[in-house]
Amino acid sequence: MSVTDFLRLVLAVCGKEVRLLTRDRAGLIVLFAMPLLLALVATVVQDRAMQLLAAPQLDLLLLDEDGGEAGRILEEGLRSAGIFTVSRTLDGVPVTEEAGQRAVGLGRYQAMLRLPAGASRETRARAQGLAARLMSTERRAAPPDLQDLPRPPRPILRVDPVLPDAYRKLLRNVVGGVLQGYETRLLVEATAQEIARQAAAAIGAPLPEPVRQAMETIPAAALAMSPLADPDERVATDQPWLAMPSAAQQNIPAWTIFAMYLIVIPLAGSMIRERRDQTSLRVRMAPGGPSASLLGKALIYLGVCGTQFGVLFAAGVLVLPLVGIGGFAPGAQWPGALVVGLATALAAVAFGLLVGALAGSPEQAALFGATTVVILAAIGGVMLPLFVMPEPLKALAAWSPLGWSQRAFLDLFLRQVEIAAVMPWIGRLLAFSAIGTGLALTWSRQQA
Amino acid sequence: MRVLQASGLRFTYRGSPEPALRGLDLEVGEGEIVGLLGPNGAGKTTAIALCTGLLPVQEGEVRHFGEDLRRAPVARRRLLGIVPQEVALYGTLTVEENLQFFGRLMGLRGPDLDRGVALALERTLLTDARSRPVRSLSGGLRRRANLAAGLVHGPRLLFLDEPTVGVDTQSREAILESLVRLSREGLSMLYTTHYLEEAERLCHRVVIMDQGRVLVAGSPGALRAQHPDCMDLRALFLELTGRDVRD
Repeated sequence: MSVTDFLRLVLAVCGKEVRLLTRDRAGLIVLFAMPLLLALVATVVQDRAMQLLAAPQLDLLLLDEDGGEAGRILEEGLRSAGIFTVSRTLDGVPVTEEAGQRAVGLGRYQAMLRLPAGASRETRARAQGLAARLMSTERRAAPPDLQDLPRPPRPILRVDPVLPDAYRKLLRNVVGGVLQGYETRLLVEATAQEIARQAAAAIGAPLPEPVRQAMETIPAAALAMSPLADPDERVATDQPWLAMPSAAQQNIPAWTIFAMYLIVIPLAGSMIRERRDQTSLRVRMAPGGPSASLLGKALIYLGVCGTQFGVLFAAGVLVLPLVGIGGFAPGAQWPGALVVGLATALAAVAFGLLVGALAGSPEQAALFGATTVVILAAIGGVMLPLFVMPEPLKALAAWSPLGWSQRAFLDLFLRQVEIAAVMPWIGRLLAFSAIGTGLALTWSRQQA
Repeated sequence: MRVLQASGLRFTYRGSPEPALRGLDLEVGEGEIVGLLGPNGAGKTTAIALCTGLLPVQEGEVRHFGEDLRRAPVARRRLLGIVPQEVALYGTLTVEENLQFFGRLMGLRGPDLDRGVALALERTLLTDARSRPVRSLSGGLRRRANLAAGLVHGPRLLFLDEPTVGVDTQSREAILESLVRLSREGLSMLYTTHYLEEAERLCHRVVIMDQGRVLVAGSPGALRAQHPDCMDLRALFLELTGRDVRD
């Protein structure tokens, strides 16, 4: 048989497969609509989750029994953190201990902060007492005794029982930071005043006006220093223009891989149906028929994978921004992504052929195929990022072809590496494809 | 010329302790319809699979048009056609699309393909149903479409594995009439069926086999003459193969 004749056979099989596919509405939904919906929904959900993790919005009640400067500064500090909404009233009336506790207990608010009466007054008195002890002119061998200084009442934080521990710690840190800043300012103020007082006493006259003004500005100047505790956050890449990774960058490649492997259901199903209804007998009677049939099927399902790749990535770029989500950005490595996409499609087709050769019925192929794809996707880091998985599952990820594709895509899209860097993943996918297709052919011949 | 000549065919399926065929001899002449009869498990389907090349010959020989199947060029397979026991067609494709696909698979294209499809539709009285999806057809029409798919490329030897099973009387008549016409036109056929009156009426010769062996072979008339105590083929069949239920 000449090559031209064989290609004609392959073309005939391709035409038949296209007709069968386009007339199978349920199959088209499984192959295109469901993965598209899955990718969009998962991206939106994960985007919201990532927003919450990155910048949670916690509703706080402030029960300010002090009514002084400390409460005002605390409220300003909490608001400026950008994480909290602070309310001094509950249902239109000033918050009380009992009503606030009930509201927090019911989850209407995540926490209530009670600032006891006298907090401002006692804190200022402690700062002044401390400054006086520190600036004491009496000779001493040990640090000054601070036991008899005024002790401000401690604020009380009541939290929602279901509030995650990380958020509790965050809340405690922010409250502690704001109040510590307030105490530090009072201490610096008191110290500056004490220095001024002692300096005036030493020279026996009021301080010169420029010195007095300088002493008054010391507290504000001290607090206006560039804070070391506020680092400039940047992505660890040598591509400075690269944006922070979004949910789309994780989900669009992930669900595209998942969708590609869903071809196992129609591909294996069609192979089994042909065996069952004996159309395979007619195919096997034709010179070159079996090879042309397998090659034609493989080509069409590679085309299906390519279409899925295009549809899902296009949806990531074009549709996600319409629903207010950061769109998918392929960056400069899209040629590498096409190669990874092709290797993924070859692996998915090989898996489909293998299941088609092994399974005894379309139902068995659908159940086994779909379940296996879900398991391989889960352990491969397709459904959830690998870093959230326990160590044993991370080790299993090394055996998931879906995980190989996912890592290659993430390397290309998030780390912006060159294609050479993902060649080990591509190599594994091609090896899987070759071995899977070889086994499928062997088993198919044995079944014949 | 013998269109099909099988001699000494033995075949054992992998894992099976008993051979499915134990030295089968078969011949089909030009334009001849040979009925292969036997109870379930007799080895009919295995015999067809070996004669078509779907199973590899383990022992014995199969010749098509005088040439050993194992040495004949693969293109020679285009002279063979098969009508499997199942309706071996794609349900969502129309009758015509199915015939075009199987015609292309057998190497037809262009006007030859159009001619082959038209002729197969005409011979099976399916011209009016050509645009209907196979799954929308009645059981009888499906069986005729199944036959048409075996004829589309104009084979010279057709293997039919129970082609009339499960169809009504009218459709069976239509199929049998088609087969008689095709035989007159020179098409040779190896035909399996459980309908013995059908075989008696249609076949030039019948081969009754059981447990992988040929029990008797000859024309229905000659077999009746050899067994005067059997009033018809059915009686002879039961006498030779027994009345025990096989399944």
